[in-house]
Amino acid sequence: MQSNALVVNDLTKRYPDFVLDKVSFSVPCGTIVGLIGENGAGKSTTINAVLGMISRDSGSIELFGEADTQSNDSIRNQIGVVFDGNNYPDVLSAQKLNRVLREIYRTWDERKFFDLLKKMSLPADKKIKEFSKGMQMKLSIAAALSHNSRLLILDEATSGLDPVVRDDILDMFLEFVQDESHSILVSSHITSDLEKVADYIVFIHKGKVVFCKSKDELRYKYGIIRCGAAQFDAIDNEEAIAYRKQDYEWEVLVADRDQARRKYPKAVIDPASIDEIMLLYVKGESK
Amino acid sequence: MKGLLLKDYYLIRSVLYVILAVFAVVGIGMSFLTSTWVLTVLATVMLGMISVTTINMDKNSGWRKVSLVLPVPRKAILDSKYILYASLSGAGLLLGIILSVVVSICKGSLDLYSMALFASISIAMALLSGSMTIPLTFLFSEDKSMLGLIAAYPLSAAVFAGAALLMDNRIAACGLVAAAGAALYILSWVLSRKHIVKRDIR
Repeated sequence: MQSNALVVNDLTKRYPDFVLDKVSFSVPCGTIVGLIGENGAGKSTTINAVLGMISRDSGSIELFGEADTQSNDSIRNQIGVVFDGNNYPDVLSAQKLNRVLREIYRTWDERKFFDLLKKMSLPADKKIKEFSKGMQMKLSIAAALSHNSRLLILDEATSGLDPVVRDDILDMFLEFVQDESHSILVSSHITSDLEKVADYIVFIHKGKVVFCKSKDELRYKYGIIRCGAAQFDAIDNEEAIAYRKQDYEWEVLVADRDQARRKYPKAVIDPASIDEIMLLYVKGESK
Repeated sequence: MKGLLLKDYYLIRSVLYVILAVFAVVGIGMSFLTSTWVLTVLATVMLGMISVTTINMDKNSGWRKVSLVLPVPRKAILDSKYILYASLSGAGLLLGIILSVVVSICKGSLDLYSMALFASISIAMALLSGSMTIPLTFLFSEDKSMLGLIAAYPLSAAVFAGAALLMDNRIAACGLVAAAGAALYILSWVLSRKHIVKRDIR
């Protein structure tokens, strides 16, 4: 069995005002990989390159072990894609969308599609323009799941949705990866969502991958030392990944909070959320 | 391809009533003011134009991005628009001819020369403008492509008028422009297949 659904290696894309610089990461089968980063960091460019919507200047992309996937319909049948916002013409109903997509996907599973609509309480005969944003997103996900996809790629699919709908969608993701041959690559700047479901986090900043780590490592090992100026001066430069000065304290990001606790017993060391890690990388400085 | 055309059929069906209402009002008015056969040009151009608007509808609805990740070659997406345009223009031509013949018979003025003249004008207008508007709409934003759409029809009319002035035989002039239109349409299709499908979509 294939170990990785997606492998991105040294992906580079140059625009006059932006460079996606040697981005490398992989999406192992049976996992959810979250792509995080601020707006304009390169998440969508990465996804667009993976999907073949933009050409790449250099680097390689492998989907299910195959390199040239743009013209490979069999690979494309196995990828479900959901973009931010509406994905389908709003004059269509779910019923009509089913008729269109069953002509396009060789593996389209009509029964699964209507079962998902029922499960998500989506009316089949109502036009998409009458759907709420959450309903539209659920419909897009239902369509992406109805052609026996093995890899779901979602670009900011949960942004702008209320917490209840987001939670429903995250449950769907978790259900999808119950099958170990299924995987998800999801880009989002709502890191709390990824904290709930992702197995790995790829952090992109200014077109470069800052880190690609397992979520558990980030949650259970990373920490933030909150201290005064004297304590801050005592912290080893090698240990501090990034720091920033707040009103009354210094925040220092460390990769091993247990080790830091042993070394600086008087310091307050909290677990770091993905949001905080991202903020310190983006807004902080290096010692 | 079938799925793409089916989607376009649903899009067109959603705006067809408005187009038919406009066609009825403008067509009746113009056929009384000018020639009955102007209905042929109007029906051909209006129906062809709807297929161009589906390209913008695809962009606005997010379908354009989605269509690029479907298990369908990029060329098929482009082909479907050229096929749709030619089919709808053909349907418009047929509809226009039938309506014009019926109205002419009612008025007692059925004239085969006018029929041939206006049919070739319709074909020329549709193909010349289609060869410009389809790639322009794929390449540019809705606003810019709309300008192209507006410019394409007078430009096509100017080509036709130029040919009519240069040649004494109007039917021959129209036939020649129609043939040139067909050649340009095919050229536009071939060039678009070669260049537009390779463009990045952001």
